[in-house]
Amino acid sequence: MPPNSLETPITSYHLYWLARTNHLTHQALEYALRRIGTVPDIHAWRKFIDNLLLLLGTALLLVGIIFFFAYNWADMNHLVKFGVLQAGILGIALFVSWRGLEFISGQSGLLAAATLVGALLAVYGQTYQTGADAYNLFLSWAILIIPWVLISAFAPLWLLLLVLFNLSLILYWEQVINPYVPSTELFLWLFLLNGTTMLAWEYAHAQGVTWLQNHWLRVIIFSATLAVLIIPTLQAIIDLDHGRYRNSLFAVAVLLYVAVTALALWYYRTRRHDLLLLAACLLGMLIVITTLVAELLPLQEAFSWLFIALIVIGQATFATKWLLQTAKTWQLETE
Amino acid sequence: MTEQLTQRTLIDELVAQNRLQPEAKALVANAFITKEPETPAPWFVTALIAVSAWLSVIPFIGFFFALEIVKSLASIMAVGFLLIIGTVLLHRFNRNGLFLEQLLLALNFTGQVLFIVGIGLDKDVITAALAAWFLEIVLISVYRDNILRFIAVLIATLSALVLLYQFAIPEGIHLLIVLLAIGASWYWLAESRHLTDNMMKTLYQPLGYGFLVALQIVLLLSILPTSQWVPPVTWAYSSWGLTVLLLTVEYYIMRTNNVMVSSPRSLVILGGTSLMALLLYQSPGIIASIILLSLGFQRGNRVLMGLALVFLTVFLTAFYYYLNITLLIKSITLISTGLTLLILRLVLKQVFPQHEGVA
Repeated sequence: MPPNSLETPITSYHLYWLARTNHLTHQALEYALRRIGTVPDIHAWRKFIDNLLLLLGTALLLVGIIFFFAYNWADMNHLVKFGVLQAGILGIALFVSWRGLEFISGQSGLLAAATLVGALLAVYGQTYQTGADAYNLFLSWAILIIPWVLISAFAPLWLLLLVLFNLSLILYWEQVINPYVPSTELFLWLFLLNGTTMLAWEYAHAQGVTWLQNHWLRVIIFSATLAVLIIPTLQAIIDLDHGRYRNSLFAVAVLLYVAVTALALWYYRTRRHDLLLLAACLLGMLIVITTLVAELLPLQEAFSWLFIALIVIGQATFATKWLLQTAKTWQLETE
Repeated sequence: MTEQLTQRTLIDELVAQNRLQPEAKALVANAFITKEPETPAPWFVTALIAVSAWLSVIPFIGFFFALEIVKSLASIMAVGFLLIIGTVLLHRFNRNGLFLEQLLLALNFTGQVLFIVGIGLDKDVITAALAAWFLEIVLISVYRDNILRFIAVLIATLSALVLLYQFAIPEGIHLLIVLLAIGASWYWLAESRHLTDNMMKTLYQPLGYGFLVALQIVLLLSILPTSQWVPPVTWAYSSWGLTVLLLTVEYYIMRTNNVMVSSPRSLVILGGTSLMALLLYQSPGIIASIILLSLGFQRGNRVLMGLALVFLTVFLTAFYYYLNITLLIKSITLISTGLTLLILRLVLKQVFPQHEGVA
């Protein structure tokens, strides 16, 4: 550690370490944890209870209203059904414009209004029996809420939009292109959708868009991007063993998987530090490599089983060591 | 209030407050400079190790069967027992080999599976559950590994459930639930004390997480429909026990924040909790999740809070889904509960404004 390390900000890790090494008494530790805010004071508790009551109260109230209309749904005529939903959307939109999108309550309101648009479209399809495929509903829903999503600067609303586009694509594939087989081509299209979103996210984040600092959205998009490449890669490995390697797009999926994993390992290791996404890449590699080894080895041989077990442990060991080493390197770089 | 303190400022403050002896100041400062605090492994790295250890149990069992080492029930138990003994001994002498550490963990799990299943097949389920229960207690004390200790708590809890089922005393589950909740609360509320205790400093984290996760897993039974495997149980008993514990946790938190129990604020909080418990007497899972959430916030532990929110969502959804009432009554219940919480929030804001000092 540098000689002036005593001037660096203290964290709970420092305090836990001091306590473990018998340098602090438990009273001193508790006092210090309270001083740095790890153990909350009465003001923090008050804010926590306030937020919890707001969150739970709003959620239960909204679900209760939905249940109430669900109970009376069959008895309502079309006018009332449309009126209720449209009034709901309008009312929430007015509340949002009054409250402002800089507040969490305003942003949550916009999310609720966007959700109600889907309900309105569903009722429209049900009432007039349009006969449209389900993908049409999700696609229309997604397109209609785009303006709200653009102005919202609210990660959950962007996630809703992405989920709707994914659902539209999957349902379009099932209902229009190929009704029976989830093909590699679909996974490649899904990769294109989610991968592009991931790139856009990274670009916006690099530009300093503050509301995108939310970490969990990146984890979800990245996991989806990786998953839609891992599935056809595993299919390719299994088909390779059974001698029915018939889909030429498998090679594209496998190459893309390798390229994306390599790129992500480099990017999140050197450019933007993200240990969780690195761990996700390594978990994906563990699954793919273990499946490949298991497919190539004769499982009637005892030592094949031993080799697979050792391969799993070996990969996990490498992953753990590498992740911890990476975290240590980052820590040293910031000091 | 929270502020960005440097290590030096805090040490000086601890000395000034008589919380650190002046002669210890140099020792602490030296410890900071000469040694580097270990960076704890993030939860997902620990999860990766645990998942891979369990994944490798299947090929290991396949290996032993393919080698025809395990042919009879006696050999299954013997191999399992030898694996457990061998891994415990090797683990004690393993100093810095991560690969060996993970290999031993996987082999230990394999040994446990073979040993317990072997006893179950050779004797009966009760003997297997008892053996598993004692085995896990022994392993917790002799095998110094957080993942193993955490999973040992889960296996011991499962064994206790099997015993209750086999002895046909389903109501005994309430005692198990309350004991798990008391254990978890004690582990987390006294975290600072445990961290400075030589025996507890390595035990409290895996056991603390283990007790909480085991508690919530046991409570999942309360939202499952009654069947051959889930006998009917009066869940209100668990709710009452957990409510008493929640009130105790609240009392403890108020006391540590210098809030008088007889103050109006305390009475509102304790009264609100009791009222909520009356409404939720059929759903101990929600009360346990609130205990978990309180413990997580009190310790500034985001993993605990994340777990609490997941379980709270599950139990709340199940509560309203399984309520044996019409959709209309459900909607009225939900609306009135939601409004009550929002009104309570307003009351708290109005009656006890933010700038008010402690009572």
